[in-house]
Amino acid sequence: MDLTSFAQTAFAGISNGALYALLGLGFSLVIRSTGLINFAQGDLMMVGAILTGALCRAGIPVAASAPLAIAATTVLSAGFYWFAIRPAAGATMAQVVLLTIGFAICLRGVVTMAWGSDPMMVPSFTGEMPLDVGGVSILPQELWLIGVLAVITLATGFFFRHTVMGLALRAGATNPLGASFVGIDPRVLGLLAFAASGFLGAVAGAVWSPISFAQVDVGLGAALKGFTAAILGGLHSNYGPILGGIVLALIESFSAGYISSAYMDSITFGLMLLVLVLRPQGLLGTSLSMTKEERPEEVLSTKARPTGFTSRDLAMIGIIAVVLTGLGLTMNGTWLTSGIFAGIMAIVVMGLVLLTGYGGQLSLGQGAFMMIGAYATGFLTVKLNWPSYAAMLIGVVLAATVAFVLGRLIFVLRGLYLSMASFGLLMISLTFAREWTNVTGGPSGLPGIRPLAIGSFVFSTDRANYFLIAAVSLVALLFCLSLARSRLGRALLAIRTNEPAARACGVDVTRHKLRVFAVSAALASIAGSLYGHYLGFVNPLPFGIDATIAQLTALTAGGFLSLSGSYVGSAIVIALPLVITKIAGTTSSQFSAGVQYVAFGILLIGVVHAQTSSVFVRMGTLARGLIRVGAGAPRIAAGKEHP
Amino acid sequence: MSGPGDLMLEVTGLSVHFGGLRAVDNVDFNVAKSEILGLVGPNGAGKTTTFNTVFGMIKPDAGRIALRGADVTGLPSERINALGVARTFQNVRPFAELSVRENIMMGAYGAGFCGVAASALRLPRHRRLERLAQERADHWIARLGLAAYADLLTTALPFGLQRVAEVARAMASAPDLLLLDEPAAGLNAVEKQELSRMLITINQETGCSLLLIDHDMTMVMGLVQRVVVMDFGKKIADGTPAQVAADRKVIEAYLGV
Repeated sequence: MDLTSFAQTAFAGISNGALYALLGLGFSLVIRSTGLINFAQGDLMMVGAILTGALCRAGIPVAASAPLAIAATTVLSAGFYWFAIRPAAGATMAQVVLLTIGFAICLRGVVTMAWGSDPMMVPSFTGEMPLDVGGVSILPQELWLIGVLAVITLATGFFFRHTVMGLALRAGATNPLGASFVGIDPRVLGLLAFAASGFLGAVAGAVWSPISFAQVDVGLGAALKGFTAAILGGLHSNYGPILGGIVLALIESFSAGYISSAYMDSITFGLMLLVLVLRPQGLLGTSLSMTKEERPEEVLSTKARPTGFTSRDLAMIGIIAVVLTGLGLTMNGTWLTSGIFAGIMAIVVMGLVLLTGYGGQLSLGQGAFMMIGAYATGFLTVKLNWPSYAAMLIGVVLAATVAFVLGRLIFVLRGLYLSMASFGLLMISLTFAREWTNVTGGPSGLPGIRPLAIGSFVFSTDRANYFLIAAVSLVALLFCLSLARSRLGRALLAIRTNEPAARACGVDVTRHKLRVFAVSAALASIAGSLYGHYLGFVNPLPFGIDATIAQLTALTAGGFLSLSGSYVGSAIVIALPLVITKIAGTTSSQFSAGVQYVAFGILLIGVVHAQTSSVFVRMGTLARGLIRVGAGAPRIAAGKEHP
Repeated sequence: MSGPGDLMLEVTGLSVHFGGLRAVDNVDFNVAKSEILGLVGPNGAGKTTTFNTVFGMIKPDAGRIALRGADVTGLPSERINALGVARTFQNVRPFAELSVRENIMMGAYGAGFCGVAASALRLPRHRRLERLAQERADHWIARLGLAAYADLLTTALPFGLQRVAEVARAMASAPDLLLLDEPAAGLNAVEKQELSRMLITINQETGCSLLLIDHDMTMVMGLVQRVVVMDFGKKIADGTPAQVAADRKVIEAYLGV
C-alpha cells in the first residue's frame, strides 16, 4: 500500500471515527449521569438522519432541515426520559435498560411505518464534489463531520470544566445521593443526559447520512460501535469517547484495508472485549469510577418465595401440560406452526428468566447460542453424518463453554456490561454464519437436516413436532424451576438484591453468574437444534436482532421471575405479528413490520411500567383477589399481617 | 495474656490508603479465641475500614491479616467466610426477596457449593447441604426468638428484629469469629440491653470470638473483655475497658481536649 492510499485509509478512518465519537460521547454522558446503557443511542442517530432526509424531501433546504431534525430528536429523547424512565423509579437496572431497548424499537417501528425501510438520500451541506488533497479524495461533507466533532469536543471540555451544570453532572455521576443533598436533582441530570444523547445522536446522523444514506436498520449496530468507542477511550473520561471513536475507526479502516472487511464486526467486538478485560477504565480513564455509594437494592418481588418445590409448582406444571396438550390437539395450520415456534422460544426465554430475573444479568446475545446449537446440528448431521442427539449435545457443550469463557471475562466487572458484550457476540456469530461458508453454508444456509426420531418414530409432521417441542419445553421448565427453587436459585436472588451481603454469606458471585449464564446458553442451544431439525435447514436469518427483540419482549411480558410465564410471553410475541398482519392485511409488508416493532416496543415499555412484576403474576393476583372478594374474605396482603 | 496458639485473629501493621488519606495507619491488634473485643473510636477513626479490610472487602496497602495463624491477607469475603468468619452490617442488609428463614439459611451457604446439576436434580449433596442449612436456621430461629416471624419477608420486620435476624444469619455459618459493625446503631436502650445479653450468650454457648465496633463507648464497655481504641487511623490504646477509660489519649480523642 503506497502513501496515498495509506493517507486515504487513514482519512476514512478519521471521518468514520467522528461518527463513532459522537455516539460514544452520548453513551458516556448517559452512563455517567444515570448509570444506564442507552440502547436507543444508535436509533436516535437514525432518527436524526431520517428526519433530515425527510424534511429535505419535503423541499426544506438542508440548512434548515438538519437543525430542525436535531432539535426534534433532542426533545424526543428528553421526553422519553421524562415520561418513560423517570417514573419507573422502582425498576431494576436491567428493566430500565430494557426500557431503552423498547424506545429504540419504537423509534425504528415508527420510522419504518412513516418512510418504509429503503435507504433515503440526504443532500450534502455544501456540494458533492470531492476535493483532491495531494491525491487523497475528500468529500466536503467529511470535513463537516470532522469540524462538527471538533466543535463538540471543545464545547464538551468547556461544559465540564467551566459550567455549573457540567460540575453538577460530574458530581451527580460520582455520588448521586451526595449531589442530591446539595440541590442537584438526579432526575434533572438524567433529563439533561438524555437530551444530550438525543442531540449528539441526531447531529451524528444528520451530518453523516449525506456521506452514506439514511437507513432505518443501522441503529443497534451503530450503538455497538459507539459503545465500543466509549469503552475504548474511557466511559468516565471527558475526551475518552472521542479518542476511542477515532482509534476504533482507524483500526477498522486499516484492518478492512489490510486484512478483510468481511469480519470487521468481529474486530470491533474483539476490541471491546479486550479493553473490558485488560483496561476497563479505557485509554484515558484513570480508574473505574467506583463510588462508595451502594447501588439501590434490586427487588423484583415483594412476596416470600417458597423454599423448595411446592404442590403449587407441580399443579402449575400439570395445568401447563394439559393446556399444551389441548392446544396441540385442536390447533391447525399456521396456528400449529406458530405453536411450535412459541415452544422453541419459551425454552430460550426460560434461560433468560434464570439469567435476568434471578441472576440480574441481561443478555442480548441468546441468538448466538441458538446459532451454535442450530449449526452444530446442521453441520454435524448433514456434513459429517453424526447422529442427531450427539450433535445436539455437542451444541450444548459448545454453547455453555462459550458462555463460560465470555462470562469469565465480563463478570469481573459489576454492572450490565454483559448486555453489550453478548450483543457483540451475536454480531460476531452472525458474521461467521454469513462468511464461514464451508461450515455454515453462508446466507443461503445448510439444507437437508433430517427430522428428529426416537427409535423408528420420525417427527415428520407438524403435530408430532409440536408435541416433541412441548415435551422438551416441559422438561426444561421442570429443570429450571427446580434450579430456581434450589440453594443455587436462592443464592442468585441474594446476589441480585445485595451483593456484599451475599459474599458475606460465602457466595462466590462470579461462579454463580457463570453457572446461570451457561445454563441459559445451553437452553438456547437446545432450542436452536430443535429449530434446525424442525425446519430441515438453518440460515442466519432467524437468529438476528429481531429474534433478540422478540425474546426480550417475551421475557418482559411473561414476567422476570416467572418460568411458567415464558409460555405466555412467547405466545404473545408469536401471536402479535399474526394478529397485526390480519388487521393490517392490505397494507405493505414494510408497514406491518413497522407496526410490529412499535407493538413490541410498547409492550416492553408498558409491561415494565405496569409491574414491576408481570402480566402473568398480575393476572394471578387479580384472580386471587376476585376469588377472595367472591368468598367475602378480607383483603389483606400476606406480608402485612404482623403477628 | 494468651499465647500465639490461642489467637483467632492477628492483624499486624495494617495500612489502608484512600488517595492521600491514611484511613488505617500501621494498626496492630489481635483477637483471642472466644474473646469479645471492642474496636472503638470517634467517627472517621478508621474502624469500619479496618473491619472491611479484615473481611476481605478492601485490599490493604500494607500489613498482614492472619486467622488461627494462617495468612489470609487479600482473600475475598467469600473465602474469609469459608474460613470461619461471619459479619453483620451497620445498615442491616437482608435479602429483600427472601423470608427470614431463607435469609438465615443463606448464612449456611459457605458450607459447600452445589453445582447446576446437583441443585436441579436434587442430588444427595444438595439434600445434605439443604438439610444442614435448615437445621442451622431452625436452631438460630428458636435460639434468638424469631419463630413467629420465620416465614415473613425480612424487610417486613421492625429494624431491631432485622438486626437480630442478621445476627442469626451470620451465626448460621457456624463462625469462630463474628464481626459486628455497630450492632447497637439505631436501637433503643432496651433493645441495646437485650442485644448485649444475646451476644454474651452466643459467646458463652458457642465459644465464638466477637469483634464489634462502635463509636458509642457505653454499650461496648459493659460487653467486651478488651478494647482497642483508634483515632485518625492509628491505634491509640489497647486494654481492658477500665484501663482504656482512664487513658489520657483516649479521653483526648473523645473530648477533643
